[in-house]
Amino acid sequence: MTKGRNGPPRLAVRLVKLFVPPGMTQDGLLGDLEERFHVRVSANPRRARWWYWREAAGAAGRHGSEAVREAVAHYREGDSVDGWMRDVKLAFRGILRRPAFATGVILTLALGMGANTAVFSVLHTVLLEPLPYDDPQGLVMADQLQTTGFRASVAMPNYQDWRERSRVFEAVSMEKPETVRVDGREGAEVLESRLVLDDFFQLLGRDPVVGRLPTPAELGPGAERVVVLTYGLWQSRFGSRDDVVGETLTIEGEPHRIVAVLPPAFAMDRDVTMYLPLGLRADDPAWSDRSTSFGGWVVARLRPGVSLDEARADMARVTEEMRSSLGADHPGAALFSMRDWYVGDVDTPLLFLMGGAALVLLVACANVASLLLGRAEERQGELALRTALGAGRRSLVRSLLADALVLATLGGLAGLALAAGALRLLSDAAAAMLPLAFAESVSIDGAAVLVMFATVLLVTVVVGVIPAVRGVKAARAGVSRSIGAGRGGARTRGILVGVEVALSVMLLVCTGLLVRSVANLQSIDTGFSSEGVLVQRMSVPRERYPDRLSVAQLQESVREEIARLPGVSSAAVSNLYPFSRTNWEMLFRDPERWPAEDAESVLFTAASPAYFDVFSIRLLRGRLFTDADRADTEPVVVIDETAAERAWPGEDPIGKIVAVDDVPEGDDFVPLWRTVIGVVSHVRNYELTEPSRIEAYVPIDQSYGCCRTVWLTVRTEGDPAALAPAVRRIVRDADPEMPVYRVDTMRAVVDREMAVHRAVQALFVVFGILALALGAVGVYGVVASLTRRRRQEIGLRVALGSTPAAAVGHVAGQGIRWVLAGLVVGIVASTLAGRTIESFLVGVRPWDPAVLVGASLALVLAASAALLLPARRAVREGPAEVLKEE
Amino acid sequence: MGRYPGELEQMILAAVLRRGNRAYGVEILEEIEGETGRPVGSGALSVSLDRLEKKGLIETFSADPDPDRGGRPRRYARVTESGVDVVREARAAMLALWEGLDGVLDA
Repeated sequence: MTKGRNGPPRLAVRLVKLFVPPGMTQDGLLGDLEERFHVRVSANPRRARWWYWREAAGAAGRHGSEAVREAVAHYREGDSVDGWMRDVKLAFRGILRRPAFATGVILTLALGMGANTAVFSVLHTVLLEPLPYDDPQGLVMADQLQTTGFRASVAMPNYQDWRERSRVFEAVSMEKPETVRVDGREGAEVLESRLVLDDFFQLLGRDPVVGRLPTPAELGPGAERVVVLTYGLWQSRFGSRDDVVGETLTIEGEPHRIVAVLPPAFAMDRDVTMYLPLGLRADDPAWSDRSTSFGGWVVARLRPGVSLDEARADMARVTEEMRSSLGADHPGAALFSMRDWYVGDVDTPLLFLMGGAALVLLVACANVASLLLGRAEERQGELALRTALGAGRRSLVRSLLADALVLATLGGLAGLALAAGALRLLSDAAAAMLPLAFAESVSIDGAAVLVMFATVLLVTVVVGVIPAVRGVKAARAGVSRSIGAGRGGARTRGILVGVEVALSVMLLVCTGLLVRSVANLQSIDTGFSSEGVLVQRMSVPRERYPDRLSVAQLQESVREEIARLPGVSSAAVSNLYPFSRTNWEMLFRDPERWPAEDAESVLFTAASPAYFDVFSIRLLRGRLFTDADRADTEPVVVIDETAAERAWPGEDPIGKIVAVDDVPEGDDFVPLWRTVIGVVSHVRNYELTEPSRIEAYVPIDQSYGCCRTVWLTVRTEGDPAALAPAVRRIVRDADPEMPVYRVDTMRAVVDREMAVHRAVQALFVVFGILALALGAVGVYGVVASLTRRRRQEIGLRVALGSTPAAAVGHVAGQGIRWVLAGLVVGIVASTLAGRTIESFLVGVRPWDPAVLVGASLALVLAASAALLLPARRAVREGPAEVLKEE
Repeated sequence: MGRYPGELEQMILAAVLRRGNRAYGVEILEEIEGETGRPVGSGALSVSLDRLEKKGLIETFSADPDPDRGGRPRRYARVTESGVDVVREARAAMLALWEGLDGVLDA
């Protein structure tokens, strides 16, 4: 028999067994499911398991409702439906009579279920079905893997080679992001576009809503100016008119004919508004330059039956072939499944969230079990009485079942409502993690609800009914309720408390570790200061400023105007800034070693002198460049400390010669040799938690090929956001058709980098609080019923001269034993759990003593409060009253 | 309710008959999906088989356990004589209702 990972999900099999009558029906169904599962599992195990779950849930639902229908039909013949109705009514009345108990159970179930349903729904959307394309398993993406280990966008000639030489792809295309200026009646606007080539639309396999998608030939060199609109732009700009095809849109000053409208949620990146032929850029010199990355990536479809590993092997072969003719430093290809390309980064945080939510559900189940056990014990007297009065076993069980069903149903419904609310919070978190279109379309997952509901029902019925039935048996056997049953129940409940405490500690420790991680993230030395900095992008229109000089003059005059604004301490123009997600990768070439040795890739910043001031980048040696370093003076470069250490370890880098960019000479490009004049601190440009590649800064006036589109960065003493309108006005005054876009404060930019950590932390704080509250309620419940049963003993002790404190201590001690045992187990387990989230922690170890002590303390405090409340009440009642009562 | 079968039940009866009046779950599903393009869940099929058997329209029996099925036997169905009668009646009823609708349906 097949089992484990290759067999169908065992839990789903159980679900079927639970609801489908055993015998031929069950065997036939499970056999059919398994047979069909095996056909699917070889194609895609994950999908097959998901399919199996859906089929199993469907079968459980069908057979379950069939059983209910038959039961109703059966009871209709007798009077038992009335019996059920009466029991359900009684159950409701019981709830109203004991609102605290019922609220405890319902709320506990609701919290556990709500958290899980919501997290699972997000997980399902993001991890299992994220791609809105035809047959998404076959889609892959690639970019260049430099011999330096860094990834870069793909150079066009390399793309052409990959396309021709690879044997594993059915179709290959290229996609390149570009922001474009779109003119309209209300002035210019800058929109995100994608330039695409070859079989792009065909390989994704989705049909347009309106019009006809361009063929590969219509996207290549010599392409007409056509544009394909996304659904969003079609709605917002064209009011979803069907006759939009054939109209024109003015992009970068040129009319483009609209040929098609894409279906909703087509672009993975939700900012994308349109697709243009990449062939329109065929006259760009970079088109045929193998050493320049063209800014795009490859989107391809594998031939049927080809695995990702086979595709990687084939690309490695292509790389080897190309290296034999082009040299050993020719870049390879980094190939990923499209799913991993877009959502690979969030697998881990989402799985943490699922783990956290599952822990909450476990705590909740333990809690409900404990509460119901207590209730069952309390009801033994009543049940014994009813038995004595002649009630049959069948009717007793029915009334208990009705109780459990009503509680579970109410809990489930409340959980569903809670999940809907939580989902809104969670999809915000998901949107923060992923700038992708689907993050907004997460909805409650039907299968998740079914499975969760079945679990809760099972727990409630098993825990609520079985002990009570046992109680009835005991009562019928004439055993006094005060002996036996109570003590065994107390131990079970004690164990449940221990389990709850252990699980809660685990959750609290994880929460603590994540809270510390985020605190550490905030205090990381990034090498720059983000306070008071405003950033925005500005594109100089090609039509009126055709050459480098006019572009530079316009940019400089805008910069000067901004620097003169009141409150502005400095303003700079640059090709990038930290976390701008602009990749300027160049080669760091030392004339003494290059080309004999490989050049390291360097992050190339072309900036005006004030850039260092704007971001408070520290000068460590030498000098920074100034306005005196112009196009016609000696070429200079400022490098960061890691570049200095890597290139000239132990030497003074000032005065050394290095090339970080190239200039045209005839038909060719040659390295521009620059003198190192200064060393600055390293700036984290890509990841808060990791250093970037080595860095070089050059005066923007001395940089060839930079830049028609620049970032304007401004430091102010006041609120940077308040400065944005003034900056916009200055740019508009300089040229009304020059748009300013991507306006942001540096604070917000850095905050976004922490969004995933923050989102996970926030949710874990919620989980932690839930666990703490549920744990406390559980402890309270157990101790309350223990003390109730031992009030007599406490009363006697006090009457016989024991101090109230000692008497309370004695009873509370019983509960504390279980709490402490749970604590120890929890701490051990949480260091293990901490290790699983280690990759996500910043500057804190999984066994951080402060976190362990803090979590334990929080739990001990909550548990002590829960222990002492009922014990104190018992003491305060006074011995006389207690003794009188018995 | 009586003996008259629902739409899915009629499809199942027809599918079993098309397979030489001996077919088990996976075959029945393939037959229906293949001929009608309509996907049917295993749960729906299994409930319908129970109902058809209770109505006396089919008989089912276990046979041929298989390692591919986790060692479980197949549940084969065979349409009984009264089952065949019912299919015949259902066809006659539908044909009578469709009479004269060619102009509408073929348009």
